[in-house]
Amino acid sequence: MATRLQFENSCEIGVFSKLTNAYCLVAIGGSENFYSTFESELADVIPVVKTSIGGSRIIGRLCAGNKKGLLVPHTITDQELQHLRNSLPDQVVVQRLDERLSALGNCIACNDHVALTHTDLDKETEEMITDVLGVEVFRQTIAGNLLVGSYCAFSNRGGLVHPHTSIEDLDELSTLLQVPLVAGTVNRGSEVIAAGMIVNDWTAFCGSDTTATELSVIESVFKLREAQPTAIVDEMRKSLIDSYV
Amino acid sequence: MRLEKCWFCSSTVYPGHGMQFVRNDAKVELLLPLLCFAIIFRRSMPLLYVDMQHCTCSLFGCAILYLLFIGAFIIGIAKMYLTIILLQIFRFCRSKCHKNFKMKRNPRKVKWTKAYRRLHGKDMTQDSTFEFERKRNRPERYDRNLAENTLKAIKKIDKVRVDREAKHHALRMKGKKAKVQREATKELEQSIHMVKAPAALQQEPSLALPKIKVKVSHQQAEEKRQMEE
Repeated sequence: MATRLQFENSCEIGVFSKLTNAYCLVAIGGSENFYSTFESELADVIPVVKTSIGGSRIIGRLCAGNKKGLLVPHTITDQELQHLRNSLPDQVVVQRLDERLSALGNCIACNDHVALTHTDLDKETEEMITDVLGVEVFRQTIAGNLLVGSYCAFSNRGGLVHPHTSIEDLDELSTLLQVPLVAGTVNRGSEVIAAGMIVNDWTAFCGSDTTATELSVIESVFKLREAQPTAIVDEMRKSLIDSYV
Repeated sequence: MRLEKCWFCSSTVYPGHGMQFVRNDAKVELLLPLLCFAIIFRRSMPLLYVDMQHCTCSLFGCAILYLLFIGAFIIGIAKMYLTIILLQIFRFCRSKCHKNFKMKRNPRKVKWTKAYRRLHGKDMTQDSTFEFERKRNRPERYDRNLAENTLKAIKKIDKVRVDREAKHHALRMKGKKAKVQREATKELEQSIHMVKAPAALQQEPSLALPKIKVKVSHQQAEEKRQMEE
């Protein structure tokens, strides 16, 4: 079920937060409204951790992770790294990388099985990604953009990519990632998908500018609607009820 | 807050001191075989004093590089160049180090730096105490006991390291005693005139070598006195 929210009057949720199947990271300094939205959906299921990276709040774009691990750039301070390690469950491996391209959230897009990375990433970083996140790594571009982490958002069940991705590219990526992909927008036509929304296997959060059409596309591609009991009843009604009297 | 090492002199840079230079786009052309060797074996190259782990090869993956190297070797191509892009953050403790860096001086050739001293065996290089201070990229969950033990261990390790360095220094300075003694006697014989005038030497017996006493008979002395009178 996709929820709309704002961080300090900005609709770019994906910049200030990171959502995976095992944890959720949020930036500090936001209003309690922002946190309460996350906590109402997620607090019982996964830990919601407030953090900063190198003193900055754009954590969604700086770190990359899935349920098995979290990769953070070298700009993170030792105290923040320790805080992350203390707050996250033990199954999640926290690793700091020495990488020239330090905005890992923009360079790496991943789910629990596959990762797409920037073509210019280090060989060593690629090995680290395979090791820490336990994924298969593909160096790709999306609609000619090198920053794959920002122009696509995908979970284990579906993915949303840049609207100008050609159909051949879409098919190629779909076969690589093994999930259904759709080219769409978020936040009233914004192409930067991952900055505008965050998603995991059962929830998604979008900026408040997201139109209803975009929201329905998101819900259908990430298969979020089916989790709701009302959807199941609707489908079953047709088979249960023969005719209305 | 993190205490870093100065890139030039290797002293600690405390908060509020020094300068930092971030170079993110230094492109370097390297000989292909050398590059392959360096990437495969991950050692810092003797030509550049830059850590190879910060390099990214913009053109090829590692395996392909290796094959190219072998291919080049077989075909007999003398040189194959490859550009690599480096990230390095240079931290300096004070403007002296920064200015030396800007003058493109190699710290391994500048006598007062730790790099020179280590390279030329003046200071201890390989020791197990250095392993404890390595930067770690995978943190562990906070444990109070572990933290307490670590603090105690830090003190002990420091003491051990200082003791070992002193031993290394003593070992380096050993074997000089005989030489120093020989030099001292020679100096006393030859250049004592630099210290005291020869006339003064005769009056003060301690500065000269001991005089040999010759016994004179009493009668001779008396005769001389009579003559003088």
